[in-house]
Amino acid sequence: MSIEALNITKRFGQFVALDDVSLHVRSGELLALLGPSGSGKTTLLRVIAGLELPDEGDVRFDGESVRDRHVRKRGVGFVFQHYALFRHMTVLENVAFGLRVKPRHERPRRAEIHDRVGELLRLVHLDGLAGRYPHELSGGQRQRVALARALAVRPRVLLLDEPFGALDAKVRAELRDWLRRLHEEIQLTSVFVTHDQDEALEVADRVVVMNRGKIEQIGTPEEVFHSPASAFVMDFLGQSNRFHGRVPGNSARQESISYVRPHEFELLKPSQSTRSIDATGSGDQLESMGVTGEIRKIYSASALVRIELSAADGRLVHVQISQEEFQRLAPSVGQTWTARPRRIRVFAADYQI
Amino acid sequence: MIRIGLRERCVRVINRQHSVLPGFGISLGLTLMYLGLVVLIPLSALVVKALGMTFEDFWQKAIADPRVMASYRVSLSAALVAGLVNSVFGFILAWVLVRYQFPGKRLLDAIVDLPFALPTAVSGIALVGLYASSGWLGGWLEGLGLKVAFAWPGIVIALTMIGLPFVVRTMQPAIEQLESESEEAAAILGATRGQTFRRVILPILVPPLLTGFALAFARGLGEFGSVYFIAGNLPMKTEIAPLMILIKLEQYDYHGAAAIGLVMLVASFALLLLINLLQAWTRHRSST
Ligand SMILES: Nc1ncnc2c1ncn2[C@@H]1O[C@H](COP(=O)(O)OP(=O)(O)OP(=O)(O)O)[C@@H](O)[C@H]1O
Ligand SMILES: [Mg+2]
Repeated sequence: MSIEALNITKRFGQFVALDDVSLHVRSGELLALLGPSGSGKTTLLRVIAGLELPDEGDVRFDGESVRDRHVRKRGVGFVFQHYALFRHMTVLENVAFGLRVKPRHERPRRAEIHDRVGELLRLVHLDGLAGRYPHELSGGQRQRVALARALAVRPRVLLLDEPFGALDAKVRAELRDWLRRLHEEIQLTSVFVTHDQDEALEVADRVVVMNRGKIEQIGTPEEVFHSPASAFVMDFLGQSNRFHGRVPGNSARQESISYVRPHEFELLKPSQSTRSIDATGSGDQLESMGVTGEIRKIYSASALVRIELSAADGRLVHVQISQEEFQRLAPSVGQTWTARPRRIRVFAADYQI
Repeated sequence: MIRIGLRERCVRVINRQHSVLPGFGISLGLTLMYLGLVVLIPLSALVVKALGMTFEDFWQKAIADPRVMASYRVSLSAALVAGLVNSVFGFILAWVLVRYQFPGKRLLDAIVDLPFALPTAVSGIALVGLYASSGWLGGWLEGLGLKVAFAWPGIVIALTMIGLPFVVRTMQPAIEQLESESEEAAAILGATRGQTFRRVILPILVPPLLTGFALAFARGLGEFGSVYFIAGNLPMKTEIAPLMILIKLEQYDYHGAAAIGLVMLVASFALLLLINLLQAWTRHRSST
């Protein structure tokens, strides 16, 4: 089922949490809402679920407005950030809840409920824990109970609020892969919230980048990573180096910011012809001359070698080169090197962090 | 299930090495000493006094006397009914105070504490003024054929007033701690409001509700001041057990007073123990 959010505005008092947000989730898609804390991700998810009534705008499922449809009747599965399991119920009772509260004529028979719950617990790899209470489970297990509980009522869309937020890195990565596979298996239109860019880029079919109640960009992981639409997206997705300054050739002489990602630098011996070291590290000379400075730190115990270069104005420039490159050039701490960008992205300086 | 719970608890007390806070020995000692001085020694004096008489004598004074027996019945039934009434309306009041915003909420919240602060005799006199046939509620009720002051319903009303803050003040924090997310989760899963209340909210609130009930009930059993005025103290009808003790004392019948006191003590203790066990059981089921 497809989801459309049309021109959604949501205010809390004076504060605008969502500002004219429009979004189309295609049927069967796994979509990530990515953004910093307070950007309105949870609010958007809650509006779609019907837990929050938008001040303006409409929500449509398969083209049909559900604005006035009660949460209970929307047929969404929702996984809360902190799971919100019923703590006085066992795993089995939690998962069966949605089936047991159905009106009598829709309610499956006891045996059917049992079978369905058993099937779901197998799906989330929790068979054998049906009799436990939530406080007797680990975080990752609770997470999966919450998911099984949401899936039990066969929702038409699945909404997950930072499903892996509270877990450690390893469990997180496991569950992430698992969600991806589960999604491929059941092809349920799903939206999940995250503030972890790796999670969004690895798992989702498409990524929505949000900032201050607005959508900055919607696109495939490749699109948002390689062609960021704004300085914010550039900044938010991965570490990058910022250089202030006017863009050469820009007639408007507009203030702008140039971004270079660490792996888009090449490291060179400072050429004899460099008259003076660029003092400001500004965008004007960045392209032709690069940034020259002293190496402060080298982190070589990873796939890519990270180098911190201290420019003349004292700012740190982050450079990443491959291990081979590192062997060949053999830079060391204290030496002066030049980092020359292979690629510069320039954005108008209309946004502040 | 209860037995396992108790045993676990004992084991936990014994294996205290890993406790975060040190000084288990000292604090336990202090607790026992304090409880001993303030509660146990006075009570054992009562027991000793009562045990100073023969069983025959005890039976005659505390059980066989129909007037005394009637007073137990009045005390127990009125405290029980008042406790139940408070459990229902105290719950609703606490719910309203926690969940809704309205003008005058602060004031209402403060009024709940008044029965705590007021000398109980004052409450009693106020109630008599209101419910006596000359009072403006009493006259009207009597017209309907319901006699409140100087009758059993009057006792219930006095005990309800005295017990209300116990239920409200135990329920408030419990309601505040409910996670609104689990209510939302229930709604998303298709539960109606009624189902959400019955299956999600109520099970978590039963243990604190039992506590509130136990406190209000126990307070009702021991209450004297407010009841004294409104009960009318008619023998066999509206005499409460604490009043019987006073009457015995006025007749210098110390043994009789102690005997009635002992019966009250055993009865209250048994009831409170029962409620505690019930609570442990429900709490185990809705464990944290
Ligand atoms: N019930 C509310 N009352 C007032 N303000 C709210 C309410 N809910 C959210 N907000 C505000 O709306 C903004 C967006 O909140 P939201 O929960 O959607 O952020 P988020 O993107 O999910 O952030 P996080 O990653 O921290 O969960 C925040 O600034 C928050 O303070
Ligand atoms: Mg959030």
